[in-house]
Amino acid sequence: MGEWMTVTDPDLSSESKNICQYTSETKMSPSSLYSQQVLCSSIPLSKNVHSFFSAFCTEENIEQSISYLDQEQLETSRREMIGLQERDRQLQCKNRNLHQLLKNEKDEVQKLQNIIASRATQYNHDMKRKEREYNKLKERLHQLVMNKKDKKIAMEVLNYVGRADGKRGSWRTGKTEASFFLRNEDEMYKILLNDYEYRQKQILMENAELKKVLQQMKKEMISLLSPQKQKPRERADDSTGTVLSDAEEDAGELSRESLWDLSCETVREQLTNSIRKQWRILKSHVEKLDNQVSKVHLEGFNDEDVISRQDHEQETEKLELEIQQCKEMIKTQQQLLQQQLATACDDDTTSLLRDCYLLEEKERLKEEWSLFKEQKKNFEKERRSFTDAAIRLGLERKAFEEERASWLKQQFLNMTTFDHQNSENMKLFSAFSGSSDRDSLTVHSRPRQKKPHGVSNGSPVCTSKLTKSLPASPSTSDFCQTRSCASEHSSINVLNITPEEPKPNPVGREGTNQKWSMASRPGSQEGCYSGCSSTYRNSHVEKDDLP
Amino acid sequence: MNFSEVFKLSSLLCKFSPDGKYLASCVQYRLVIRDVNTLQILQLYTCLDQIQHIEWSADSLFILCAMYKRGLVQVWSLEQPEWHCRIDEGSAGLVASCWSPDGRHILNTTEFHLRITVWSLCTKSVSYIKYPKACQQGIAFTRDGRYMALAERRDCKDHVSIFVCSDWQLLRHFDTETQDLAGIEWAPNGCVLAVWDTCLEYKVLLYSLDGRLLSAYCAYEWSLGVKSVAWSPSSQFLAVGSYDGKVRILNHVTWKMITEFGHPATVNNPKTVVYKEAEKNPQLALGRLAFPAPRAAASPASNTESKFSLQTLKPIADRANPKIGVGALAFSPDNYFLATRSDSVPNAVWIWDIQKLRLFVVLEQLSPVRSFQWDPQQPRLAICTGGSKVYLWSPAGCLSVQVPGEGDFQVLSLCWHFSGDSMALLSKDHFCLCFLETEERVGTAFGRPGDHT
Repeated sequence: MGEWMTVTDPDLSSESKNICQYTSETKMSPSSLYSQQVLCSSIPLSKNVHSFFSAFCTEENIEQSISYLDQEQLETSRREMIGLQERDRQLQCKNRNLHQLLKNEKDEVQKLQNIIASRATQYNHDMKRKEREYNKLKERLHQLVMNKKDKKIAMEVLNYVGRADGKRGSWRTGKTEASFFLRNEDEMYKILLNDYEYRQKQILMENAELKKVLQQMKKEMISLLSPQKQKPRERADDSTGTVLSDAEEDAGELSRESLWDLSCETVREQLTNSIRKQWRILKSHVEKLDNQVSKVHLEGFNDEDVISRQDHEQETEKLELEIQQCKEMIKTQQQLLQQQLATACDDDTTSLLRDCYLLEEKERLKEEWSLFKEQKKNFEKERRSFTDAAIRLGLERKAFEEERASWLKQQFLNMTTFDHQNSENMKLFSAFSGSSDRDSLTVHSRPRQKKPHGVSNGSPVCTSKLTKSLPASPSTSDFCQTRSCASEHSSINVLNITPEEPKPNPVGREGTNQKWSMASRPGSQEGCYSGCSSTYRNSHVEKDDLP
Repeated sequence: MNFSEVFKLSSLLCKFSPDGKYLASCVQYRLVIRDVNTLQILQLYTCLDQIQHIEWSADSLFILCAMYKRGLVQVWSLEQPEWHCRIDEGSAGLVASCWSPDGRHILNTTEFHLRITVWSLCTKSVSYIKYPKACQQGIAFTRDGRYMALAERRDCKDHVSIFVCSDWQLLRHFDTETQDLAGIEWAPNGCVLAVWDTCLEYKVLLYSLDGRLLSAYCAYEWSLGVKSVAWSPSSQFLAVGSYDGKVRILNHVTWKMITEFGHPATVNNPKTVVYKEAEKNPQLALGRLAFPAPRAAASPASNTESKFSLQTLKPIADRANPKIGVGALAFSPDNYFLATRSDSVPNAVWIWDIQKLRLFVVLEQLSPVRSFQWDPQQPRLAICTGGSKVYLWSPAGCLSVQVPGEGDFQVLSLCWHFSGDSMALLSKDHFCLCFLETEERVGTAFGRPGDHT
């Protein structure tokens, strides 16, 4: 329970028991995650906490803590309320919709009932009227039957007038009803036929006009589309073919039509089909232009990533969907979280457990932290040791170098005094570390062929070193010269050469180096040596006139 | 615009002769024939009883006066004033009387629609037609006067008989698929007969002259159906006004509906011009206003709002013949316009553009529109609302004119002279003539406004 220590706020304190009961009874809010609340909740279970609890709230801070707790609870209850309100609102909406539906249905029913009612009223009214008339009829009939001596209905006229058209009334001589009938029939049919013919004429005229208009439209559409066909467009290949073929067809059609000038079924169909085709082509063309325009519009703003309007819209739609989904996810997660917390708040033990888990985790973390620290320390130590070792190594090397130098000096001195039969004492220094400061050890292997061991041991190394070191510094070369000179002729002139002539970069010296390059002779000692000596000799010619 | 004197009138019986020379009016049992231009009394006839109906013969030579109560029809001749003719239906009674197109036969419908008696003025022959149908429009003559269509009812079924008017021969007889035939009307070209059913059933049937059924049209079921029907002058369209407040236009080629016109209480289309009559200072409305230059101060305020609501009348429920639906339809003589009135919006007259098949103008008056009539020669509509004003509309504009007079002249009805130059305005007890000045004609000089005899 280390965290208790970090958390204690000396200000918060109150009477232990009262608050204890109060807090343990109340519901736990989500903010019980905070240590202080956990502190409060775990009161009845652990003594330790009890003691700390007293630190949390004391008598003086009752109100403060109460208000603090109240705020948290208020918030939680507020949130709950909002959630419930939302649900309530949704349910109310549903309810309203259902009510509306019900109302609509009721209205419909009412309307139908009204219609039926009004029909019934009208029907009844008519029926009543009929009945009244019927009654009157009956009454009159009754009267007539009673009054047989009624005067005859008559027409009294001064004189008969002539017919309207001035003709005389025709005598019915031999003509039967049938002839009259036929004559009337003829008349009637004549009238009907006249009317039909007239109407047909009108319709034909209208058709002709419309056909003319259609053909004109077709021609204009073709002319509209044809200029574009000259440009090479892959997509329009099919349409070009059809347009051109249509144009040819149309020419034929026109001639045909002008000849016939009839509304033949096939001709009509051809015309309408070709118009439809043209229209489709025109429409697709216009759509293409539209798309291009939108692209150009976009291009004006953004040189890269030219997206067509449709793609753009699709993308935005997709993004919107994603946003919605994410929002929903967040909501559900929030809800779940709240639920969890809410459910957890109810149970003290679960919260305790969680706290324990948290403690466990914290301890684990601490352990790991300490581990890390240890490892860090170890690494530091190792590093230090490595650096020490490096330093030591450096010092040792230095010492070693000094030793070598001194030894070489000795050797020289010995060589000048003694014969080179004491060449045993000549050692081959192989402790080259590649540093250009040191004098590379000279190798005298030629006269030492008698001692294959020492030489052989060192010789491969020697040769390699020779290849390396000899060109490195003039001192070595001079040494070599002197040595070989001494070896061959047992006379050395060179004594003034200082052993140490630091040359920073062996690579940089090209003049003499070239002569020393040993690339020519692979592998064998002798070859190497001979190469060395030969080259040496060459170089040396200038200097000395040694034989 | 000139107004004539006010003359006495009874029962709204005032008719121009077909040739436009005479004006016949009734005062109780007297028939007064006047000259149209001078309005001088040319003839005066006395009938035996109060006249209920007068009708000019087609050649303007004769005029019939029907007295239903007495069952009498008296015919008078203009050429020969001393000539007389009396037809007595006797105990059969008289319900309706009309001329045949040749002007030499009179068709009397006896009481209870027992029969139609065809009386001839040329011969002594009498014809009887049995079982005529008792409906609002049972007899229809073709425009050329050759044929007559008659609605009949035999054995509880509706039939139509087509007669040749020249010799009264039956040409065709067929039954119709109507429940209760309400009316028949010939197309102006005389080749198609429109037959419609009672308002309980929406059904419009179209028959050819030779009796073939060309088409049947039914817009909807169950609700009240056809209220009014009108042919366009070219016979191209048949306008059917129904109780649902819509007019459906059928075309003569397919006999299918090409459009329907609704009559909602609010006018939404901003292109529609609405003329609303507004109360103005009465001093402004005086005669002598030139038409069609509508500089008239009394012109109604024109209102071109985007949304205009009209006054509606809620129909009384549970009553027969409810005041809803399109009750009046009339095409203009040039076939360009259709004037309609919806009974649930009684103050307004809708004018539709037939060329474009859309609403053109709405005229809203202050009181319910009683009747409207198109000028027989041009697209000019005259409207009366029972007030003392007469309203005129033409595509150029619209104006309202107050009928001058000492008292209130309540214009209950009006009718045009066939030339379109003048109009008779009828009130309950009087009538007067209204002369419309045209650009060619200088206003005729006669009675100043305000004079009475």
